[in-house]
Amino acid sequence: MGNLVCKGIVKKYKDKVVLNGVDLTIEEGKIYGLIGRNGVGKTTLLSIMTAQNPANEGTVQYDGEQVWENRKALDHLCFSRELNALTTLGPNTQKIKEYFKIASIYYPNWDQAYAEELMKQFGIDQKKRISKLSKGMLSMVTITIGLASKADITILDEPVAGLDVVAREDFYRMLIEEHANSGRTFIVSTHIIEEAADVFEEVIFLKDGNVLLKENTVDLLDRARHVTGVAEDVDLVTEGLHKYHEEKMGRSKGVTVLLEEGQSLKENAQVTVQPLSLQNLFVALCGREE
Amino acid sequence: MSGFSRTMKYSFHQAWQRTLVSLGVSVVYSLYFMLMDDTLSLKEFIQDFGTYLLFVSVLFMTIYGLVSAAVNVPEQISFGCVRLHAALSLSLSNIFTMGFVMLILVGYYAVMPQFSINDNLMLFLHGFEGMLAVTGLTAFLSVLVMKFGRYAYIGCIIVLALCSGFFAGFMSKMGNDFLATANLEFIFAVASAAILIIGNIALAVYSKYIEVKA
Repeated sequence: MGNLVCKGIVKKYKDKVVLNGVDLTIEEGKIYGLIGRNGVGKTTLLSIMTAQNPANEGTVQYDGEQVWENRKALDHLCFSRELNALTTLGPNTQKIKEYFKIASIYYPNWDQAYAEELMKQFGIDQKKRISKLSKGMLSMVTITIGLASKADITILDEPVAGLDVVAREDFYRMLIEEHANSGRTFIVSTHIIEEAADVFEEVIFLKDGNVLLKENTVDLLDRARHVTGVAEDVDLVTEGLHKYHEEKMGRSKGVTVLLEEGQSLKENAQVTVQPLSLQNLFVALCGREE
Repeated sequence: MSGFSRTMKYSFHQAWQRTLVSLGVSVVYSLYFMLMDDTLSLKEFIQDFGTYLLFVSVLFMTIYGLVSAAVNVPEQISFGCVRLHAALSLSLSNIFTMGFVMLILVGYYAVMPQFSINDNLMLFLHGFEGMLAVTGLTAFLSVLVMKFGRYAYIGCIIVLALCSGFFAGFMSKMGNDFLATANLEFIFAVASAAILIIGNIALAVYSKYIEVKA
C-alpha cells in the first residue's frame, strides 16, 4: 500500500476552471470523506486521481509512480462511480453478474465470493439487468464493486444516494468492518454528512476549485466554535480570530470560528459558545457568502 | 495477469457474444430467404448461408465497434484499464469475432458433403479482407464517435450506408470477375491492412483524451 499524491491539478472545461491547482495527499489506511457543494468538482477530482479523466495540468502519483497510463499503479485503485439507470448504453444493458464478470477481469484482487455475499445481504438478484434497478439498488451495486474490488485505495462516489436509512447504516457498518479487516484506504464523497461524520477519520472540504481544508475529523470539530450573543459581545469574544460565517438577527449575532493552535475565545459570560456538527461546520465554511 | 492479457480476455468475452448474435441473426435471415424463395434449392441455401453469416457479422462488427467506442472503451477505463489497451480492445474484439466466424464457416463447409473448402476460398478471402478493413474503419470512425458523440453516430451510419450502396452498385455492374484479377486482390489486401493500421493508430492517439462520464 502507498499514498496517493496529487500535485497542482488543474482541470478546465472550455473556459470554466473546475479545479485550480489542487494539492492533496491521501495517506494509506484511512477513511476520508470528500465533501463539497454540487458542481464544485468532487467527481472530476476523483476521476483525475484514478486516471479516468485527463487533467490539464498537474500530476497524480501512487506510491511514487505516475498513475496515468500505468497499470501497475492503477491496479491499486478503484473508483466505483455512481450508476445511472436512465442511460440506455454501457453497464445498463448488462446483468449485474456480467458487470461483476468485467470487474473481475480488471481488478486483480477482486473477491467474487464477497461480492456475492454483499448482493445477498442487500437482497439483490444478480440476474437482474442494471437498467431495471431502483436508485437504491444501483447504489448497492456501486458499493459492492467498490468493496469487492479489494483495491488498496477505493473511492466511492455518492455511495449512499438513494439508500434508505437502514441501508445507509448497513453500508457504514460494512465499510468499517472492511476497513478494520483489510486496512484499505477509502475515499467517500457524500452530501449526507451528519451520519457519516463518525465514519470519516479525515474530511476534505472542496471549495472554489481547491481544497479548503483536509483534517482529522475529531481535531477539526474540536476547534470549531459557534458563538452567539449580542453583536458587540460576540465581536469582543472573537476579536483577532478569522470569522468564517456571520449571521445577524437584530442586535444578535452568530459567528463560526476555527481556533488555530494557541488561540482561544476571550472570556465573556454574555455569549453562548457551542460546538458544531460536521454538517453545520460545512455549511458555515462552504455555504453561500452573506 | 498482465494488462494486455486482461484486454485480451475482455475482448474475447465481447467477441463470443457478438459471434452468437451474428450467428443467430444469420440463421433467421437465411431461413427467411429460404421460405420466401420457392426456387431456392437446398444446395443454394447452404451456399448462401455462409455468405449471409459473413455479411451479417461484418455489419455487426461495424455497429458493435461504433457502440463499443462510446461504451466499452470508457467502461474499461473506469475499471482501471490502461487507455491504449482499452482502445486496442475495439479492434481485438473484432479480430476475435472474425476468427470465430471464420472457424464456424470452415467447420460449416467442412461438414457439408456438397462443398469443399477450396470452393469457398474466394469467399473466405474476401470476407477476411472485408473484416480487416471494417475493423480498421471502425477504429477510425470510433475516434469521431468519441469526439462528437451522437451526431457522429448518425454521420458514420450515413457514410457507411452510402459506401455499402456504392460498393454494391459497383459490384453488380462490374461483376465478381472483376475482383478475381490478381492485381486487385493485392490492392484490396494492402488497402485493408492499411485501413486497419491507420484506424488503430488514430484511435490509440485519441485515447488519451477520453473522459469517463457518469
